[in-house]
Amino acid sequence: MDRQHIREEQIVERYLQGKLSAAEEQAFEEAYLGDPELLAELEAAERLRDGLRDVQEADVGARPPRRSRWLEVMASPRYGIAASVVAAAALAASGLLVLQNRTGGSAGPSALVAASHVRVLSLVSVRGTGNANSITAPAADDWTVLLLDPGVGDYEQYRAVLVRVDGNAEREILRRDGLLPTYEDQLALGVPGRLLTAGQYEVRLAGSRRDSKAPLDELGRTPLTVTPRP
Amino acid sequence: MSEGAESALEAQVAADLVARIGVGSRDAEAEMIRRYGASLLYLLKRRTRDAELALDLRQDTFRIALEKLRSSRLEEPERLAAYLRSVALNLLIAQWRKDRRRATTADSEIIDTVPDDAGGPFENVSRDQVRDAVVALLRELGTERDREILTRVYLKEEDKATICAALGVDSVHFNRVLFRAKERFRELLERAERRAKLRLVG
Repeated sequence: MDRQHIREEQIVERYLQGKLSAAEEQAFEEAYLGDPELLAELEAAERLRDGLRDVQEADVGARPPRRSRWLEVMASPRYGIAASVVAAAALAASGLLVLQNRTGGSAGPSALVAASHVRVLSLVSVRGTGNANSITAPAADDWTVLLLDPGVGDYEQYRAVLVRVDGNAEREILRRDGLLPTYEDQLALGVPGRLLTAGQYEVRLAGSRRDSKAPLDELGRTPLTVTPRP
Repeated sequence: MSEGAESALEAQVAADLVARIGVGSRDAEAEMIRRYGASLLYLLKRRTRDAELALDLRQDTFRIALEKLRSSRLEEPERLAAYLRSVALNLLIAQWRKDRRRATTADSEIIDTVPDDAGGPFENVSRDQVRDAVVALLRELGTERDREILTRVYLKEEDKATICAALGVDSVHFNRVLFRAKERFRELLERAERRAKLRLVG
């Protein structure tokens, strides 16, 4: 039973609820018996469940207040679809802004119009597993927007650095400061296709507090594999 | 390392342990007990709801496994975890049927000498600390909707499809919220565990 399946099917939660089939239960138990990381994840989830029960009983946590009308609307599927369309347009526009930054503002709307394809990839970074992020090399005029999860932290802005890794050698490809979570609370990093040739990359994320003089906190490194175009 | 490679690595480690135990390596025996001890105990505690019984059954599981591995081969040495699980559950069934425990002649000294650090990764975290970590996590979650995802999963035990439909979120968002919350909570627990251990040492 692999980690992707465990995540997608909420195997941990369903195991705790006693809702797995006999075959699933056997496969999962065999998996965590030999995997200390998976056991730690399971035990943390169990503690989280128990802690939530305690909090509910003690009424210490934030009891969800009655939803206002506009929150009801925002939670509706139709609004979600509309918001996704707007967000996709915003992502395309932010990709254009990245292009403008890089070319000193000389790129106009024609640059994005010239792009035959804008692809969005949500990067996955999971403790204890390998690289689940793999894409085919884009055409030079295409754009790839990498969505990064900043995690649950107390940062006001972020830095993302795209690094190419060739064995022991590294080369910085792209750096963006001042990123703010946008679509679905994720950070969007637009990368022109000509920078994403086949090879191994790493996206390094760091967070900072506005006006803070302290060094940025490194939040994580997410691998990305770009495979050759067929 | 890809996920497939991780499974292959576990299989390789298991097969290696089996092979080394088969030629008399006491180090390998201790390594097997350390590697599988905590998870076996967790599984047995979950099944029995009895910590003392779970500890006894774990001891017996390892005794039987060592006797087997020292004297003969497993058909599938890479599936050592599956074998241990099978032994443990069979012992549990026997216990439930109130059968006489299997007597073994295996030298069990190795089991008693391996330090029992298999109480779990958060054994020193108190109930209060867990609750504090939950409160901290709920406050850190960005939206009420995300908090509600957690409460629906863990308190109301609703399935993903029901929750996504009710809250108007897609599967990707649901998976991400759950994953981020569990990772952050685990960080908070690990921090509490470190503080608790320092207090124990101090």
